[in-house]
Amino acid sequence: MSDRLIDLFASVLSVESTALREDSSPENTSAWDSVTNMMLVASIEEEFGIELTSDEIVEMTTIGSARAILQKRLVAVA
Amino acid sequence: MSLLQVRSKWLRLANSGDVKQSKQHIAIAATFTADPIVPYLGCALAEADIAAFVSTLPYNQLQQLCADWKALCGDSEPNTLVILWRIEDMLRKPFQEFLRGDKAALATALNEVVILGEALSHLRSKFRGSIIVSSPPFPHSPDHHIQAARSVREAGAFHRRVIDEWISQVSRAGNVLILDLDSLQRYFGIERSLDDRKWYLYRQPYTEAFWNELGRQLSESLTRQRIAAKKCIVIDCDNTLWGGIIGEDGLAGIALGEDYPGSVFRDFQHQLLTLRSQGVMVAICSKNNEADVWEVFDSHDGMLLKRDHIVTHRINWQDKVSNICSIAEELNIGLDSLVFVDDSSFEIAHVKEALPMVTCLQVPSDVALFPRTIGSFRLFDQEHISAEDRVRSDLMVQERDRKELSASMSPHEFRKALALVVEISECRPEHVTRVTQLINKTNQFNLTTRRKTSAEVVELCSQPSWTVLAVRVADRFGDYGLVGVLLLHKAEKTLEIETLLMSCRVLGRGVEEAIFAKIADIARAAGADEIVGEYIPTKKNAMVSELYKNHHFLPESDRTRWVARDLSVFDWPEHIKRV
Repeated sequence: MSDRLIDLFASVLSVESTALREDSSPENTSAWDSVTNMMLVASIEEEFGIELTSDEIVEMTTIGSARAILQKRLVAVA
Repeated sequence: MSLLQVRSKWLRLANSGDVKQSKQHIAIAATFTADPIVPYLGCALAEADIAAFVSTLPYNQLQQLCADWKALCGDSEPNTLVILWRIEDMLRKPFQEFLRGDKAALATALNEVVILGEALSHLRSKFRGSIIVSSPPFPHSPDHHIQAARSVREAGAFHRRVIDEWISQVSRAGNVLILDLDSLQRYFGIERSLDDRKWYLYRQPYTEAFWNELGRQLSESLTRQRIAAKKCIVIDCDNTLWGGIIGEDGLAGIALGEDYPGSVFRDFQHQLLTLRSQGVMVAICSKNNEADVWEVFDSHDGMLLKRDHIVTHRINWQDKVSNICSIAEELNIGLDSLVFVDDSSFEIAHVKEALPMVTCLQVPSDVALFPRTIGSFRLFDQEHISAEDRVRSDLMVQERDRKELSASMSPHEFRKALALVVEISECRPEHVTRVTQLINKTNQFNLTTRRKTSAEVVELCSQPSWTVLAVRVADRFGDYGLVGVLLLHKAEKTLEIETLLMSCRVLGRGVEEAIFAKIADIARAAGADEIVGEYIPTKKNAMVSELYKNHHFLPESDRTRWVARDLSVFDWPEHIKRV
């Protein structure tokens, strides 16, 4: 199932959205390294119109945790 | 385009054939994490039609880069290196000590700058491509907030000394471009440039918006050398050089002086004088009676511009498009070298439509914004201003005098009366700036239109099989300066003319014959028995399509390759004195 968040990760990491899951992380996704992590943060902030705190950036270790952070901020991700 | 879109665009471009196979490779080294710049620099270059591969080098290894760039770059072979550094990173300790009262720490800091400067000189001697370094921005960090009470006296004093020393070190290294990161950060503003979260998380100091700005600025610095700057500004008079209409308001009625709106137009005149000193020609195109306009120049106290500052004028009631074309023709420059400034929407639209290659600037309806419109216009910019640039306007006036002499006698008598002196000599270090400028600006009398950076010119000067020659011409009216460039390559028994170009100012006076005589001398001295010249046709160089034919060369196949095998026919022209 695809949504704005998965599409964003797919676009920044240059992979198919079908290759991504909620537990996708730097450990199991080769395209997700420290450089692309910075790009993910910038893109999430711009796409969803929010500014993440440093703690949230540190917590964002999987797609699932990114989703949880956005939901806590009451941002619609569907 | 949003920043997100720019980054997405780069992801596509970076995977494209154009970029992957590109010979342009830019590597960036910084005292901080600089990866975020890649998409913005890459896209800005792509917009300038340059497909370049952009990468970052390992974090904070500037000394290692300078000492052995090949080792640090590994497999990749960059042809451009960018070096970015900040006081907050490289000089943090002496900066802190200085702020805490130890004034001797400034000497420690300056010593570090000298060491980096020497490392840069070493890199310059080992690396053949372009090098760009940044100027350190005014520091802003937990150690020092730029709004602190003693800021200008303490951190400011430290910054001024450091930046001065760095600029002097860079000049000593020679042929290194400077990216003014200090001005950029000031212009953009600390509040919008710095991102504390990214700094603490990734040692990455900047906001995405500032990275974009930095990427664009870097791209502009890299491409500026190859783009010909605009050469002439054509200005209207009424409501452009002064407020009001001279024909209606009279000398006492126009606004030009110390008060609004006259002060605005006076500042525009100041800007014109500065442009003139940088080699830009100032011309007038105005719908007026000549007498009225000159009356303002001669009699109005508020005028800064004098008649002699104006290289040519078209003050009449004809349409501006034909006047502008006539100006370009008289000055012997392309229409795309012109900038047109006028207050009238009608005139601007008319010129834009008929002459799209002329850049038009309209005086804003709120005239107070006019000087900034002119000041923020970047197409007159040049990295260096040569001695020729400084005297260009005066040279044009000399040219007027020559034309008057020419009109009074036959072409043959005129050539003799000019008393031409020509010097064709090897390009020395002090000529490199002007030679590079000519190589990149000359379009008409240019056989092959091959552009080069100053680093490439310096490299060719040092190669034994290449000869780089500068042509200087003078006559009884004055010195034309360095007006021609020859790049010759010896390959076995052949001397190839890789580049032959000349300023249109010295056409048809015999300088061409002198040039070929010199080339023949070099061919003989090098043991070559033939000279080969190429003609690469472009939209602008049709005037030289028959040059080789007219100077004893014979065509091979399609009239783009010409050969001369009888070197004895090239004589130095009698009427020209040889230095």
